[in-house]
Amino acid sequence: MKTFKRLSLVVIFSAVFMSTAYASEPSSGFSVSPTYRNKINPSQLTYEAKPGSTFQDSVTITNHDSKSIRLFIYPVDSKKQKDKVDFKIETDAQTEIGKWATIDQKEVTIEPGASQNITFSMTIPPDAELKDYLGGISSEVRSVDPSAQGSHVNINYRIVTKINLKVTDTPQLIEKLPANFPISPTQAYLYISAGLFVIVLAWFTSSSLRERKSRKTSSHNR
Amino acid sequence: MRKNKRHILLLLFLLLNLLISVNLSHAATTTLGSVSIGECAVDCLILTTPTQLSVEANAAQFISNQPKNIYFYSNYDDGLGEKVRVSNATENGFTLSVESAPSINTVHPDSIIPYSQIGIASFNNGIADPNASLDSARLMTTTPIDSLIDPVIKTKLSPNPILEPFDQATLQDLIDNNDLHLPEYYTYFSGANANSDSIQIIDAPDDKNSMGGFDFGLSAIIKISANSINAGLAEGAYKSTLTFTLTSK
Repeated sequence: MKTFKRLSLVVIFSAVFMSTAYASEPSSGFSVSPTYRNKINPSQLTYEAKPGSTFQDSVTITNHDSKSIRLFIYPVDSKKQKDKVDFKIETDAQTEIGKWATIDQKEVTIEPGASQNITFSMTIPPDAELKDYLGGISSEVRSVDPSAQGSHVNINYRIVTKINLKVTDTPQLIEKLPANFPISPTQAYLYISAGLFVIVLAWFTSSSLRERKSRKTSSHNR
Repeated sequence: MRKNKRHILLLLFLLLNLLISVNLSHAATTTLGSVSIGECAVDCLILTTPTQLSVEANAAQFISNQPKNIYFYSNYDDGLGEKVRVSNATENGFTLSVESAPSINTVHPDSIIPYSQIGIASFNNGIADPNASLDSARLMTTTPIDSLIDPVIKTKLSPNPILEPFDQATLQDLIDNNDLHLPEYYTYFSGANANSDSIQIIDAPDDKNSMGGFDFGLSAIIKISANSINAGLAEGAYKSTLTFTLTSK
């Protein structure tokens, strides 16, 4: 029984150690997703609204990196070229969604592992044409070389969260999904496995102890 | 004793289960970030960027009276091996594009180079890993024309580049000769006007959804042609901005 006990302890300690080691491994990058996901396309922002109306929503930016990250947030119009759709850059003239959406927090610094909601307001002009519009909220990392002299090029990386806006006189409610589940299915699986493991180990240990105790009692009675 | 055996088997099974889940979680953690409340678990794209990419130019000065091709080229990683990584946790595919802002004279902002071209070179980790390269992304119906993975391209460009397939051509030759184009291992967008068009590098459909992500060492190159359109501009240094855009489909 001593062997079992030792084995159990070794197993549980190594399991806990491995989980911690793996879970704490630094990762990188940043992600942007709608704070309140809709059923039509959860990774995009989708609205129907009347001309002249105003509404607010937000996107959630998460920093997965081990260092803080500085982002520039701005709304943009889409642009069509050939058969592809892309988005204007900040210096381009914005005429639709890029102009109608406003963001108070144009620049944010997000600490490692932290998330931040960025709220934006959308004001549709009363004379807006009734049709579908495509734009986005751009979250941009700027890589500027401060030592650059002479001719030089700066490099920016951005994630554009698409905004699909239908301007109509008869807007329909876009159904939202429940709030984001805080962990991924894989991580949920890990926690459930770990929990099960601990429960069974505890049960195994206690039943072994009980067995040992009853054996001791019966030998003592004898 | 039989009971103990059952216990051991159960314990081993659970241990195995735990190990599998830890490994799975490790894979997810790499792409999805550390376990924390508010983490992007679903419906988002993750973009990992090199912390600092340096951009070099062959000629710092634009001389209007002596037309010359000018190339700017960026390193494909930040020197620490960190490249661009895209992880897709959305239900749909994604697109990655690049666009250049006009090159503006640093002293005379009214002087703007109206025509330039963008090229993109792609790398993986130096090995032919079809699951982590731009080549595999190209299978996803991308627009670009020619692309070959060449992990040693950086050494070809610097410090003393010999550019294939022009065996004897150096970067200087390319600069001096308006008819020479970038070598084939660049994904080169000869028709694109960098000042107004964005270029789609990747158009990944939903069947390429990958929690594992894609690594791209993206080396951007801007060619400012010795073109009559570019003539007559103010002399001096010009600056431009390249913007990579990631969006879900």
